[in-house]
Amino acid sequence: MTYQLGFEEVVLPLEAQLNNLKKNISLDSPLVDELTSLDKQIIRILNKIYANLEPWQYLLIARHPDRPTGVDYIRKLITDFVPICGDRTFGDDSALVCGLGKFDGIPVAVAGHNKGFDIDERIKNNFGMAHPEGYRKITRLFDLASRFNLPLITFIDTKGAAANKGSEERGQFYALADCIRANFLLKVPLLSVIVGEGGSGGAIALASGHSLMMLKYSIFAVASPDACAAILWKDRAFSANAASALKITSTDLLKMGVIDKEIEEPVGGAHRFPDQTFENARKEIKKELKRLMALSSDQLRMLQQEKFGKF
Amino acid sequence: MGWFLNLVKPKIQSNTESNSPANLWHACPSCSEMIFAKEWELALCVCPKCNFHERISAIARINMLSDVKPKMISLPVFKDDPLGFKDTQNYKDRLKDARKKTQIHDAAIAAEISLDGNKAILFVMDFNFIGGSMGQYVGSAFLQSANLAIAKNIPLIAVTASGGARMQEGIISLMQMPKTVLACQFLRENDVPYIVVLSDPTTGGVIASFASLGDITLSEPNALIGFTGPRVIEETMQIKLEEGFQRSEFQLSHGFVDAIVHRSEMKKELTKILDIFARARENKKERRKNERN
Ligand SMILES: [Zn+2]
Repeated sequence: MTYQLGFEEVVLPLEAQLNNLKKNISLDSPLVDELTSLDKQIIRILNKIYANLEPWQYLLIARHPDRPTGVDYIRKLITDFVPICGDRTFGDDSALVCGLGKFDGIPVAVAGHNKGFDIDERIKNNFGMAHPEGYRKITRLFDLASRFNLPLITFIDTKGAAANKGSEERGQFYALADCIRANFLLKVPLLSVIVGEGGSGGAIALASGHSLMMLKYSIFAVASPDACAAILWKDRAFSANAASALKITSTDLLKMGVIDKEIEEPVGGAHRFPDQTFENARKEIKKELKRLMALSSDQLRMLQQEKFGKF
Repeated sequence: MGWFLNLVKPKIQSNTESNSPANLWHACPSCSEMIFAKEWELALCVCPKCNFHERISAIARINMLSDVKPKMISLPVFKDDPLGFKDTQNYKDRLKDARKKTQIHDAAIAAEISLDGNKAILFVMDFNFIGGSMGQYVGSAFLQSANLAIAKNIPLIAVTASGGARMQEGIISLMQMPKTVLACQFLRENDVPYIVVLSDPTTGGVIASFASLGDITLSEPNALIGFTGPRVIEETMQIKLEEGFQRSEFQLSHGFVDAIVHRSEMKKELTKILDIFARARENKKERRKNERN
């Protein structure tokens, strides 16, 4: 069975019907009219659902297994990809994909979380929660990018940094702190896009650069609302309350000046319309990159100092 | 040495109206040994029997780490409760309670101190204030302390005690991580020594930012130091962690701490360190002068 969002319940049978119809139809069939009206009906319902989303529903969309994860944006938007693997200390972390390539013809360095495509890959990638090796690899990438004038783009989709025995034994806290510091050593622009979950230290380590954008239905939080509910309410059942209280949506965060821009996402979400979402992201990244590439490294640093000094 | 008092929890001090046994005696929270309250205080709240280092207030910490009367630093104040946060209690009320309990404004204070003639800025966190959690006030206090250390060209010492981010301030508390790391970067770029003293516990967003970036990192014995707390790891992994996991001794052997220092030796150790840096920096000035000639 495919994954379903409860609040999309009404629209799901119609979508199944539409897909079925699409498969068995020729252009001259009288059913084309029915197809068109069904399609319109679906969009109408989606518009209604998506116009009234609560923060906890954003969280569910952000976590939808069909939602494109960081690495999907690398695959779609970056050409001539050259992988950068390993931290030269302990190992490679497949939860974070790093490399060089070209964005719109411009040589860049990129990183993106990979939550995993199927269950085997998800387990292998620790569901996109990176270990110290991942953050040390990012530090390596940032250094490389600075020395060879490669603007950086990071695509963030993580619940947070890995929180297990191994990650603690290998110094998760230092890896994170050092990775955040690497953000302030950059001589090139770092543009970060939260494409799904922007969870805690695991996200901020890749997002303390010069511009931070969020897809409309992604979230950014100091702690996952479930964890927050468990700690403050002592009960995970209060996750929805925590999701509201924490202010995790792009709209709220834009108002607070935490993010620089919200990237429009088609009504119905990226899990339904990935190609349109990739295209929206491409356009905004292009604009933002152009703006940042005009700045000197001193100006970039000033921008960071203002951005983070104000909180 | 009048400022040296004030070590034991306010509870013990304020109940001085009687000489009841409860005020005269202190039970070690670790081994339950009954110890004279006065003796406990003189031992800097460390159990003489089992060496347990009790968590102490930020004020007590500052008082025990200076040769002269510490000069308190005024820190930037912000509007409380930026998000209007309410869980089982209003955040505003939580702040009010914590202020009453600890007699400080938020989970960190700072002072200018002197050790054997060498001055330093001392930034200290208080676990009793909402778990020592870092929100806008604590992050800004650290940045201010770093800036002051740079302006006065004297070392910064940070004594940490924190469960991590102040969740009630949401994303603003997360933004304190890059902000405090930036402050560490300022220190580094200005060649100002930065010494960290980790105390029990230092976890989450605090250890994953400024508490990790000291030029020298000391720790009190048996302090819990880690990104994710052991209970969460045990729950999510369904395992039992070995005794001592993430404690100071563990972090020393794993390469994340330079030395474990007993509380009674801490002042001496910091004095030694400040002296080495002070002399080295004098020699540097001398060398520069010679190079110019
Ligand atoms: Zn004891």
